[in-house]
Amino acid sequence: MNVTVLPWRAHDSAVWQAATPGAVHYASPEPGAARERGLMSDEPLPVPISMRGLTKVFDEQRAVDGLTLDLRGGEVFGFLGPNGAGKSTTIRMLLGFIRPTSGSASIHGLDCTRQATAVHALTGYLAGEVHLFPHLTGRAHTELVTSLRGVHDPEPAEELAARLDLDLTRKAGAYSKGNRQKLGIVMALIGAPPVLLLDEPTSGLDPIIQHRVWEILRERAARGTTILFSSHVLGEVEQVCDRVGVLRDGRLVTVEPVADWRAHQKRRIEVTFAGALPAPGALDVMGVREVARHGPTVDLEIGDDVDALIKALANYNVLDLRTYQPTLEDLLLGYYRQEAT
Amino acid sequence: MTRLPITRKTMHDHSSAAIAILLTMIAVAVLDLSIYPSYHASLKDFEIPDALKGFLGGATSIATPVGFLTAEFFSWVPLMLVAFAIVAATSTTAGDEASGALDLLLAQPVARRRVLAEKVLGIAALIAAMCLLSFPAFMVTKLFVDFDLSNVKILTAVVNMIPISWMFLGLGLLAGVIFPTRASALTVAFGLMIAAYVIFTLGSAVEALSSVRMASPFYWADGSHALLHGLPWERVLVFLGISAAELVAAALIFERRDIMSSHTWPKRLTWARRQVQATRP
Repeated sequence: MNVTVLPWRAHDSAVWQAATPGAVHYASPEPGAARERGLMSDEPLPVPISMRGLTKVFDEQRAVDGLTLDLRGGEVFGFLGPNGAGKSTTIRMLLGFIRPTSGSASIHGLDCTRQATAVHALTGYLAGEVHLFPHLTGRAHTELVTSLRGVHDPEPAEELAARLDLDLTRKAGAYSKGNRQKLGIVMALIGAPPVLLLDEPTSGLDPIIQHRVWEILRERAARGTTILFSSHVLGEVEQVCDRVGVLRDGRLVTVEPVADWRAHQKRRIEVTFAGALPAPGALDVMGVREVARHGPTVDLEIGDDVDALIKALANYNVLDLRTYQPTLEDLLLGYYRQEAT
Repeated sequence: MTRLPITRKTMHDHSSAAIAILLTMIAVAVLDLSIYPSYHASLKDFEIPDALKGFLGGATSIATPVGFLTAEFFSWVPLMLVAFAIVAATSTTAGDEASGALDLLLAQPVARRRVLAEKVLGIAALIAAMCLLSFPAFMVTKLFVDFDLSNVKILTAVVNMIPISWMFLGLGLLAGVIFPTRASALTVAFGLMIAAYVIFTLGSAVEALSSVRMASPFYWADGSHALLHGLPWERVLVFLGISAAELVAAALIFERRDIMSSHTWPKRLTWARRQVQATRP
């Protein structure tokens, strides 16, 4: 097989080249652009992240159950699920930390178990709980990772830290949870790996920094980085991701583009009336459904179109109106109901 | 790019304990050599009890420089080095894994065996450094006191402490990759170390233990032997061979097994409990 090897930084290691004989190598993190420039072979590109029947059983408990999923290049994929759904276990299998009981996973065509070291050269990882070496400074951490990844320029790490308002001169033991998380993000991004596996990346961050992290991730995705992003916060996934997968009890319940996802998501609206309450069902107009009432308040479930509801409410004396984004629990309940019916 | 970054980090992690042990070794060396001239006359007729003869090793009397130094330094300092080796080895494997910090290293493009080898190299280098840096204390103190034992012999005995410490480093490492928690790894490794030491020291006095005394590594690392006859190369090679075998076994196990996070740790404990239950009749 005729292979063109024009590595970018993350591939610039003997490990990657030795561990991937015959693999089709990307010339840049933008496969499309690379193909146009004629820098790649004509063979189909390996899928950035691919899982086939991936299963992990711990002590008779199926933590991940037959997961089959492909992620596209430059895609930000939101992995949603409650605690214990199998998100972290899946990510750990992708990193080769845990061996699958059955099934397989690959990153850019490399087997995640057998070629884990080469996979790591292509992957930036942020753990669900960032554990650091308390006696080392933030800078010592970034230098350690920089050195292990064979990256020669420490400047990008410094820039990232500055963007996240992270003081690298302090010892990690003195960091707050937010600062630990920031350092974890900086370390995951060192060397601009073409795949990012991020387990709840904005957990513990304040809203301003959360937005900066989302911005950084969107920038990386625009440059072709594939991002698997686990979260249990719906709003965050909607902000950042192109597609969403919902995991429950180790099984993938659904995978869909965020746009479709938004379209059929139901928001909740609480309307408190000053005077007489509408008759039951009177507000069930165009996509609105009454779900409960308590005292002067009526709970409604609504899709995208609020216009019909506003018009219907104009006939009543409304004291207060509150809207709520659905929580992950609401969403999962919706899927339970769907399965039950 | 820094060379051997994990080795450097490991050495940094354990440097405080290593410095404390080194200072203790230097203080004891200076003290032992300083008090010897005033004690050796009174010790000449001292009959050491049978139960304590194990501490003298191959030396005939505690009044001789060899006997004195064996009893006062080389009988227990190796124990300190061995304890350091076990604690450091288990902390770099089971300890880092339980805390979740191991993920940070293993997520980088370095093979697990390299992570393990670099960590071992760091601890092994610290042990060697502690031993070698204690030697000048003997050399300098000897300039001021009358202690009739050559520097070469003392250096030989000091170097002789390294292989046994490395062997227990390998044991700690092996326990750290096999057992599910650092506490269990420490218990097993320390249990073996204490058993070996008790067999060695009491074996010369207790009839029941005398036959198994040679099974103790401390018997083969006896400091008095090195002080009297020079470095026992064949013994050193055996210790190094065992250490290498332990390292290879630990690397093979570490390469193949799941790395748990703090999230999945309870599952590993459940697994361990099941293994224990499975062994019960």
